[in-house]
Amino acid sequence: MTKSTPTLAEAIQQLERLEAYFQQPDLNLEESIAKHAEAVQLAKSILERLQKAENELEKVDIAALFAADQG
Amino acid sequence: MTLTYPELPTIGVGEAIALCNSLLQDLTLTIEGEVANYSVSRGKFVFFDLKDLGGESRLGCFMMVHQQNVPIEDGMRILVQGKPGLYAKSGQFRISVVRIQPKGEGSLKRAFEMLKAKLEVEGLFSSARKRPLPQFPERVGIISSSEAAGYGDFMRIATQRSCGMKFVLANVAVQGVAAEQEICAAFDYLNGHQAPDVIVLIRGGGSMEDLHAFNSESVARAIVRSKAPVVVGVGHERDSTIADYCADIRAATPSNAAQLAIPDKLEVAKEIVATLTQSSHALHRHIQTTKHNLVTTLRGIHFQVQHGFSDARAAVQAHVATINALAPVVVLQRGYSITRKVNGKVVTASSQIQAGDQVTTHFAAGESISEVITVS
Repeated sequence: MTKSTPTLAEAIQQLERLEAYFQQPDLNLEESIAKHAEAVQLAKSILERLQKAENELEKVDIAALFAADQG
Repeated sequence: MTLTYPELPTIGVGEAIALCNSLLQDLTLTIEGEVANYSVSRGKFVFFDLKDLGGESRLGCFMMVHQQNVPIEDGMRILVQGKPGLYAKSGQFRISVVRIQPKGEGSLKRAFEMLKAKLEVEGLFSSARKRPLPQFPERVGIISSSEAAGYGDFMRIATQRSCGMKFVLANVAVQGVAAEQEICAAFDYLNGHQAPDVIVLIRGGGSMEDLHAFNSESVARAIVRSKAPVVVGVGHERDSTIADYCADIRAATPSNAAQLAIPDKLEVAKEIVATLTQSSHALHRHIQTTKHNLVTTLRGIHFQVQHGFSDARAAVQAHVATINALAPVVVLQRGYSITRKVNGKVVTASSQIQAGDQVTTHFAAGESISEVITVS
């Protein structure tokens, strides 16, 4: 069974958990390297998703709405 | 038959009065004269004398208050209809009055003024009492004579204007002795059996004597009592009657009564078109307002979502900054390294190691194993 893609909110919560991890003392170096790579990848993915959603929003034709309002 | 003394047997006073009254019982007189000594006793009994104009002859008259159909006063010329007889207790000869009618223009005017004042005090003419006419009456009751010119005028205008309403005529005498009673009965009939939306009382113009019924108290009260609102259209504009004052709507003429009571089909059609146009404009305005409100709401939502994206991006960047500040690998990339003892513990102070210990040094990329030469 494939794991379903987390929602944007779930992904941000995961990033917050990783941030909390790095705030602990005496981190395991190997583990922290893997967690850091995971955090970087997760942040990149979140930012891409945000950008994509924002692009979708920009497609809403505000000019057409203005025209409808005047009509 | 003439009975004369000594053929008559001797009788008592009461019997004599009864005998005289029996001889008079079939006699009804209509007498014209002038009123004198008018008085009302105990609010119930009306007494007055009727005398010849400029003469000495007098007749005592009596009636009950509720029988007095017309207000009178001393000096007024009237016609009295009544039965003569002897009053047993006083032996006085009196006319028991059935009906009074003012005689001559002066008396009619005076009676009119007196009745008008009386009914005005009672509030019968009050505008607060008057009812509006229905906008679209379906049944119209008409009280008039089918022979009257006023009725013809009314129907001509009414049929031109009307669109499918029903007219019910109560055909009555509009002048003469029977008029008053027939008009009152017509109000009772129409209100009781025909459920009209409006009643129109009409007749053409005439002298004050002709209009007598329209100046009577009983017709005035029938108008006020009517369940349906009443339009009165009598004669020409100069003729004001008591009925006019009591009407819910006073029309100047019978034709004017038709104009006031019957909506004109052409005007109704125009009104419908105007109402539809107004509704259409109102609907258009409502749609525009709704559209405008919707666009405003959408713009608000759009702004909120955009704001949400910016916040989320800033939050992610803040998390990444914190992680980068804390992640050992990032520190190592800046040239720092981590030293561990053989047991894996990180060396954070020189006191934790001594010369000869083997230590492992981790770099951003790779690691090395060294031996401690000296500790300071």
